[in-house]
Amino acid sequence: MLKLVLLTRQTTQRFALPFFVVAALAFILMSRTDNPWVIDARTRTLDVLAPVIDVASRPVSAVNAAVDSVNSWLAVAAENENLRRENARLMHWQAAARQLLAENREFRELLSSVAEPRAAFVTARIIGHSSGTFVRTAVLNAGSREGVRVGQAVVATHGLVGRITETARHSSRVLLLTDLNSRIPVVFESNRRPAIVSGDNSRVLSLLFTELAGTIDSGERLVTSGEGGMLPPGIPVGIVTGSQGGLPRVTPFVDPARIEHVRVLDYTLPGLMQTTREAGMLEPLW
Amino acid sequence: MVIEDWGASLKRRAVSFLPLVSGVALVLVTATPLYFGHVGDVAPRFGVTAVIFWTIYRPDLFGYASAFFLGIVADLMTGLPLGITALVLVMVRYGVFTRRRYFLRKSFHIVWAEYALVVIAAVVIDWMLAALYLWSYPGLLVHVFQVLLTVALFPGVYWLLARCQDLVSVAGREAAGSG
Repeated sequence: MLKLVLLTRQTTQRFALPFFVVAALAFILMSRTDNPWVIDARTRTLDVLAPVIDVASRPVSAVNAAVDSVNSWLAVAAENENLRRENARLMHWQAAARQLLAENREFRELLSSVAEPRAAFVTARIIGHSSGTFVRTAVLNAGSREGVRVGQAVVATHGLVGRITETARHSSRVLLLTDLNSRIPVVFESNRRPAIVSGDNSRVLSLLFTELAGTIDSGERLVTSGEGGMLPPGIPVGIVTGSQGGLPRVTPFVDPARIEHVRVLDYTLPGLMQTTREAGMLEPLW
Repeated sequence: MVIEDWGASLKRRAVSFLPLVSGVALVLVTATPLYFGHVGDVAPRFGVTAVIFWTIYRPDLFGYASAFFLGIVADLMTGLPLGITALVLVMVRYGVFTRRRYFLRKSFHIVWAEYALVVIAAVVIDWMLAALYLWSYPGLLVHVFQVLLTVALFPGVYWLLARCQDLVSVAGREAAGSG
């Protein structure tokens, strides 16, 4: 009997390594082919782990906040001077914006223009990030129960963060703009020419399918075009900051590592998509 | 007396899961990476730390199945392709287990230096898998910071895991004493 137990144990130990290597490779293959079982397992686990991640993330968030706070204290004089200058510039822009808003309203009335649908939103906390080379995602503490659905836009104060790719009951995963699989239809703010911004798992974005590749200047701003109907038009995405291999590089307005709370927009075009919620926004979101 | 024996045995069994539970806890802590200015957000590879520690000191309680499970949890949590971290951790477990006797005889500082080499190897494997999976060359800077952070935080994590190991040993001795 003892011999049999020993033999079984030896055999198990001998084959454990190849067994688990093959199992891991099989899982990788299933992930590569977007196997529904893998997606389902991921969603279910996200729901179970989300509360734990939420608690576990708080000490690290506190450390990040403390480092931020020290940095901002060290740079307080320079920051103050910058803010004064920016404030003066923004006061000028505020006056211009008020004038344009009134003018725009008047023109819309004259043309009987159809108003853009307003988006409702859910505010959520970012409780986890993936920071490896494979994916750039974040986990939110709001899920399908709070009205979050796959494809919805996630925004912060300064612009677009990404899109929802997985939803569990109480949590969801955001595919960040910088992820290799992210593609967002955008337009240049100055001339409304369309393009696509794409991530490559680095901190900047690439600009694809633009007719203007060789003639784009640094400083050009990009906003969502609203094409496809899932993202509201006009959300700030990023700014052209240079080029690499002839392709313009875009720095996103939002660095997800620096924000804690985001808004998930429930935006649907009337008649084109099924409306899930009553629009409730009165003020612009950004 | 029988109840005492049963209690000690139950405690020993419960505590025998501590290596895996401590590994999962360390992986969950890294769900929120630390922010490093221009490098971006970097999370230490504490899953690798747990596998190395338990493979050296309690391989009987932390086999390939534990390393595999820990990797799957990490993949599910971070949204990585399922199996990537599991493969890395199973390979780390194999590499450390074959050199276990060497590790056991060395001082903490030597273990720390060897640990750094294993972490580098794990990150290189991870990078190669990423290159194959994505069919491109992912940036190296984040990986370099990941190695530095994981190695720098080793003493603190080692201390925590050593306290867990003490609990496991005490429970084992109590069960043996009452038996």
